[in-house]
Amino acid sequence: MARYLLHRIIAGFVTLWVVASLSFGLMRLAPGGPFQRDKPLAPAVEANLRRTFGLAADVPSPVAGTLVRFLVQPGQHLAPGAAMAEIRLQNSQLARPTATADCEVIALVGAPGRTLAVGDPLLARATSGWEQYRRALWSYAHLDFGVTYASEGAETVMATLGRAFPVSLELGFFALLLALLLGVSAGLVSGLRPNSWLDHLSMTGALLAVSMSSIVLGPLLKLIFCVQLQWLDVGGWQPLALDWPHVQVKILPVLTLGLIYAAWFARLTRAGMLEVVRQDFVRTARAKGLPERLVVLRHAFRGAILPVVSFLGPALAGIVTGSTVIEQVFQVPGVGEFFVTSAVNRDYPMVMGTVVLYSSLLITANLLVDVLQAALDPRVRGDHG
Amino acid sequence: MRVSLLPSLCLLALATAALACAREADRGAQLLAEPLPADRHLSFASGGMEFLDPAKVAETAGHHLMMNVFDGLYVYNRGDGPPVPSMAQAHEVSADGKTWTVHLRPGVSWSDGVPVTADDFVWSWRRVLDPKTASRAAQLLWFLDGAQAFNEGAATDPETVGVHALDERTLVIQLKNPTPFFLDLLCEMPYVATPRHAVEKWGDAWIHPDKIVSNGPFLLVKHEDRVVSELVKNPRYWDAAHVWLEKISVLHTESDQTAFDWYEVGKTQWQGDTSLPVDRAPSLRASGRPDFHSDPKLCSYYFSVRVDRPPMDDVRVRKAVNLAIDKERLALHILRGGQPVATNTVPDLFRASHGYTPFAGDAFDPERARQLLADAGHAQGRGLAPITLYFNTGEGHRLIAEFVQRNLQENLGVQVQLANMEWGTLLKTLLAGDFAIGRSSWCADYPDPLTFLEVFHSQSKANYSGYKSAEYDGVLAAIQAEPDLTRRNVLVRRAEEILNRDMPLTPLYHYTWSYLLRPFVLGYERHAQDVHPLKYIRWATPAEWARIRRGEIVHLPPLPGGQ
Repeated sequence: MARYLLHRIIAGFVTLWVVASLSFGLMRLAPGGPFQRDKPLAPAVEANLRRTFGLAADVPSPVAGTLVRFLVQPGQHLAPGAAMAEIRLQNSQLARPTATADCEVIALVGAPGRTLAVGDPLLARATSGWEQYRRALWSYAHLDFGVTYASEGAETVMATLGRAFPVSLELGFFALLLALLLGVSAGLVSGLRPNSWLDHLSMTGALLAVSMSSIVLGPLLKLIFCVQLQWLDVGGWQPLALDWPHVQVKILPVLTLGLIYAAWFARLTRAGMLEVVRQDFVRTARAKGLPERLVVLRHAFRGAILPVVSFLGPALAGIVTGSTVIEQVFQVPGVGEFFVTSAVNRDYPMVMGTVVLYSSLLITANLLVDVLQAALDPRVRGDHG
Repeated sequence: MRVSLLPSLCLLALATAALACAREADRGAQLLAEPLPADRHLSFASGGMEFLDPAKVAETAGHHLMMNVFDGLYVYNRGDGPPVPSMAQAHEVSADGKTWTVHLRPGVSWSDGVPVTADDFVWSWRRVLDPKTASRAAQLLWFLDGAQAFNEGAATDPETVGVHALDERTLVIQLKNPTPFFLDLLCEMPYVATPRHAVEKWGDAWIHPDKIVSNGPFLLVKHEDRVVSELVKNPRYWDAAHVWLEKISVLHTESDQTAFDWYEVGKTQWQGDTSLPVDRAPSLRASGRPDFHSDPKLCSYYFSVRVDRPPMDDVRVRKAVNLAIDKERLALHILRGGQPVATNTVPDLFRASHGYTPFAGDAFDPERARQLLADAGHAQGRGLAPITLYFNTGEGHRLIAEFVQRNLQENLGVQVQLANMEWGTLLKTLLAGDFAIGRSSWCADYPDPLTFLEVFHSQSKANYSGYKSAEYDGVLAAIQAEPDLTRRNVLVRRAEEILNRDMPLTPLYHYTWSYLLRPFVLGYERHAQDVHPLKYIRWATPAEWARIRRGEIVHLPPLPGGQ
């Protein structure tokens, strides 16, 4: 078992590295860039921003003299050996320093007539993807995702996620609790009394909830309880605040997120139960004369819950990182929003932060689920007779 | 008997629309029946802000909040009046318009009691320009002599920037050009003072509510990202006697629907900088609700037309395209927000401030359009490959693009293909010049026609059309150098004429801004740049409220500005 666990953990890290590298590559392939807003920025302003994030570097002048003119334009691609500018040296000769490596020009520094010393910046160039990747992986390994572009360096990705994650975690925890309690019990009842009115009722409810996505259910609940009846409020979520003014904003998001997963759990539990109660070991348990309560709870339940447990992995990660839609509708300041906004805004560090967070959660949740499954089902452990 | 479905459906739709209108009308009566609030606490919705540091604020939400926390030498007026002195008491301008001497108001202080000095302004402006600050807003300071070189890193000595303190209360500003709108610029965020003593003590953390030191009418006491920000009145503000509100809550949301719901249930009194929900906007507009407003804005919506690409490299084709679009119908039936039709890029909002009447460009004339296209050798669109119109994702953009597509097909016989892309992708396409027609827009950086005209300068990064005219660049340079407003207006008009002659753009319309504001809120006056300082806001007095309930409109006039 320990060996299996170790194997899984190593595989987990490899997966994480692959996911991070792929997202890094895909992100750079996407057109546009983080500093493109409604209005294009002046090249010098963009260069200043890019320098803060390691996306630009200075090209120093190799000679001293007076700048006569630039031979390149911002946005131009430079091949090694291409002349960058004309500089009049002290001895009145003209020098034309050339580029040493492939790069893109972001901005020209200063105007003709400027006096240059050796090492003074001449151009700002874009750093290459490989330079950025090396730098990024090194800091990711130290759990440092850098600063978000959205805050232009004022806040780190970890601080932003650190503030948003507890919110999503709380929403997810209560939603999962609701989903499990409601879903599993409804599924059990249905599975034990198939085709009874209780079964029909809970399965119709489940079908409704599964078919109704949160984008319908959320606004509908909000319209009824917040706008029409005005019983509940929207916005102002504080993690761990459990007094009424704060609880009232949490009820609907938890309900919306929880109901949909409850429906899935109910259907899975019912299916599991129907399958298990027909199996030999349950019949044996009954034949031994065990009371029905014990048959169900001790024998059948463990088998019936297995599909729920396997679904728990992805569900856990999905629930905890929050549903983007629900967070939007109910104004919950969780992680969900960043999945969308950071990608749209090309906030590279934030995208990487959320991707790595989600992947680690998914990997950990799946690992936990496998361990749990092994504990529940001897067949998975592979150590049965 | 056959019952035709279509008329019944139309009837149903009409009935629903009528019902919606009736509901909005009831709502109007309800709003006027509301009692005046007992407290002086204003709440409004706002998108999340990126920065609080005034040196970095470059977007609407941050601007709306922080301009109430930090004061510049001058501040925006109530409505479209000239800027009002705040930290400054008076100023003098040299004859060439390039040297400004500003005298600070005596006795102004930071919220911790430390006096505000001329040195604070010098230090703050240099900080914005410092390449290490990497401020997006730095460009607004490039009007100062030497500012651009220092911001680019070409000059490293901050003394080269044209702002110096003569003494504790006198500031001398050197400008690159005579800048008639410099007083307006002085109201902008990058021009406010930041407290050197606090920034040096706390570093980047100085802006947190528990450490912040400021000099504006309100103090930032709470800021929870994506949840809420709170301001309270600053008792040390020099004009505190005229600040009426005691507390302000800014509820953050990116959702227009949520902001609308908050307003409707009475949680906020103003919809803030969020837009009206798309599905509600038309019925709100039609309703005549007393809290619905639609103000003109200094923004222009147009198509960039690539001037170096066949068939648009022929000015006759560019003109034909512009003449064949029925912009009146576009505004009336598609935009439906009272938007003024654009025949050129400069909005008609400079009559009062500049005495400038914009140039009327070509109006809708399909006959002339067909003639021009025929002259270019493409009668009825013959020999023209389909032209691609690029626009970014957005329901409004799509409807406009489809309208233009239909117009060009019907009036010119020109086939237009629509290409929808995400904003980042469109911007890349525009910057690369790899298109025939692309959706663009421009909002004023400062309240002057020049901000719209500069877009088409041959060196401008936003000149997506690839338009290069030495004549046009020359006129722009002359505008920048001209200190006399009347002569300057003549030049501005000349620039507009050149644009209308060369047509590197297809102007469509100028923006309006629609919003909801409780009828008892006074002091929120129409402003072309959509700026509404909260220090002017108050509730109506019982007498005024009675007048408003009778249907009167109560306005608070602009303050005497200037010196």
